[in-house]
Amino acid sequence: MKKSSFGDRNLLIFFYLIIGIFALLCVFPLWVAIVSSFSNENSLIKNGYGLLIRNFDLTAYKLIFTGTNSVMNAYVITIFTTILGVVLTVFLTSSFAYPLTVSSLKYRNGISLFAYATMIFSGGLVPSYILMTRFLHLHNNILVLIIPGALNAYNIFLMKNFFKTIPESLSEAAKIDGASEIYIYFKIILPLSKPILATIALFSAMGYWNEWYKVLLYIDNSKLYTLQFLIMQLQQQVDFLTSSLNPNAVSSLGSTVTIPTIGIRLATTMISIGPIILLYPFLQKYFIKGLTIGGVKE
Amino acid sequence: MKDLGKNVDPSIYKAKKNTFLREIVKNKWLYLLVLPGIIYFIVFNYLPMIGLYIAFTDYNPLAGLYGLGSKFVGLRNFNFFFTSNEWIHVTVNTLYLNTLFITTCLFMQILLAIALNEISGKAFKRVSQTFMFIPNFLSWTVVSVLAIALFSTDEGLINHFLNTFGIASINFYQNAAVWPPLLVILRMWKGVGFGTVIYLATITGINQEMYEAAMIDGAGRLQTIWYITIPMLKKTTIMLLILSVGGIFNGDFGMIYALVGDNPLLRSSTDVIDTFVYRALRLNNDIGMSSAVGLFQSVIGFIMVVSSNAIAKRMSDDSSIF
Repeated sequence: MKKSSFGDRNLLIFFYLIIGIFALLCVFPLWVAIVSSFSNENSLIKNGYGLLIRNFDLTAYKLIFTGTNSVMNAYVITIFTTILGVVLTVFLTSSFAYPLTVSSLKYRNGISLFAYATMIFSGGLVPSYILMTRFLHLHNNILVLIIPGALNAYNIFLMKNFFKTIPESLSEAAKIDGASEIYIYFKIILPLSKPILATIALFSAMGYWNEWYKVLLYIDNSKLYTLQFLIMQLQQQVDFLTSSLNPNAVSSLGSTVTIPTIGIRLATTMISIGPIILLYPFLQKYFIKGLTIGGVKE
Repeated sequence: MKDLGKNVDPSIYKAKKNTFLREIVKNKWLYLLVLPGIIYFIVFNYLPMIGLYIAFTDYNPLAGLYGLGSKFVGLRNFNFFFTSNEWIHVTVNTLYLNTLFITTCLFMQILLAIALNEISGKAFKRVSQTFMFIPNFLSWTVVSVLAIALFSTDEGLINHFLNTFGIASINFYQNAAVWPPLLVILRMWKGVGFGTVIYLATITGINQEMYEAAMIDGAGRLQTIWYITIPMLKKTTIMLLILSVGGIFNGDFGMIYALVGDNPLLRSSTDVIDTFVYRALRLNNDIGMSSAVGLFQSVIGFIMVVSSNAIAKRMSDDSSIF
């Protein structure tokens, strides 16, 4: 029987408040942005960003979808690089990690070290930059958004730990029955590894979806911009999108309506995070599982 | 070759080579599976390490193969960097900001994890965890748009709010002094949900019997937290700290560049080593100096990770990572 003292109850209330306030603060800016993206540009300039929709206005969204190709183009690029990137990541990571868990593999410790060493020491920006642009000729090449970054030691670490939880007796039994290592890997290990594969896929999908740094470094062809980089351009160059609007769109706005630069920025941001926000509640448990597999030491 | 005497049978050398090949052939499929990964690491991780050599040269892209024939100038590039005032400034900024981030986020994550553990409403817990985790998925560019919505001088929500109370607007994007606390807040907003999950998982793994015993002895909620929960978090905290401290000389380029861009007014408090190197490389094309700084960061980062790992090992045997 728990005796709840006055101090205990106060502490509990304090905890509820902290969590509640923090959680609200987390979504509050998103709310402001969504609301403002549906507001009329003039009222945005006059009254600032608000908590409620003032003068409901779809102009910004209309312009994004019909007035210019940039946003849809960036969406296509982002989806393309994300899908290919995730497939590559999952394939490379799992095929690298599995052999490291087979105890009869003689050089697995050396190979492990080879991978982990990349976590503690790196060449830095300049050699990578020279490598990508001069050596590999990846400047303005969409592959630079897919291949580099597909494999990293941390993901390998997570997968290895998961594979280790699969009893080796399973593969032993299969070997006795004459199965080859490849068969074991594809038909036994992988199907059992769906949780970790899903987790790695989700984490890397998030990374690819949000990619803008590589675009900043290696790409100046505006047709290869990703969504996040597009948003950055919208912020740093005021006239970036408006100069790409086709004339029909501008004239259809009429002469009294200002081109909604703020609205366009907000609307683009909203549709870029749309998929993530919508999918996230369903995928939350995978993320949490992934974090706790790697993060909690037993 | 030195004559090793009659004890050594020359067929040993052949045998050694045979074992290597034999091992590869025996497990050829497994080695085939790791091969793409090995190639990847060599190309994208190890080749650039060789390129660190550039830090010691006067880089000329036309000299030799990919500029590797450039003239060796020893430590001259390092000289330029270390004798300028800027190196102290950006290094201090980097360390200062990172230390603030590490400490505030750690405190907040543990506090929230403890709070989440103590409260009982299931629906409340789930909804608030979902909310707290969402900022983690937004890229810093999105956060930057949200920041402008709040902090913009003319249209920002915060300034409008202040104005209604008669307080003058704060010019966030032109005032360098507000940015350290602002960056800390933004970093906490975006990053805390992540670590909270890990700490919470650790807490739920704590043996419940200890709590029951404590409560029989009359311990209150605060006491059980202080004497049981927090000490049990030590291992996880140390592990996460090692990871963070290892990167203390690496500024969060993604965060800072997305939030303040190339704004020169804010540089004094927000410029970190990485943004400095980026500008030197892309805008001034100063390859020598930026590669010297990059090497400096890599070496220091390596020392930090290895030594913090060693310290943790000495403190408690299984807290380390390597």
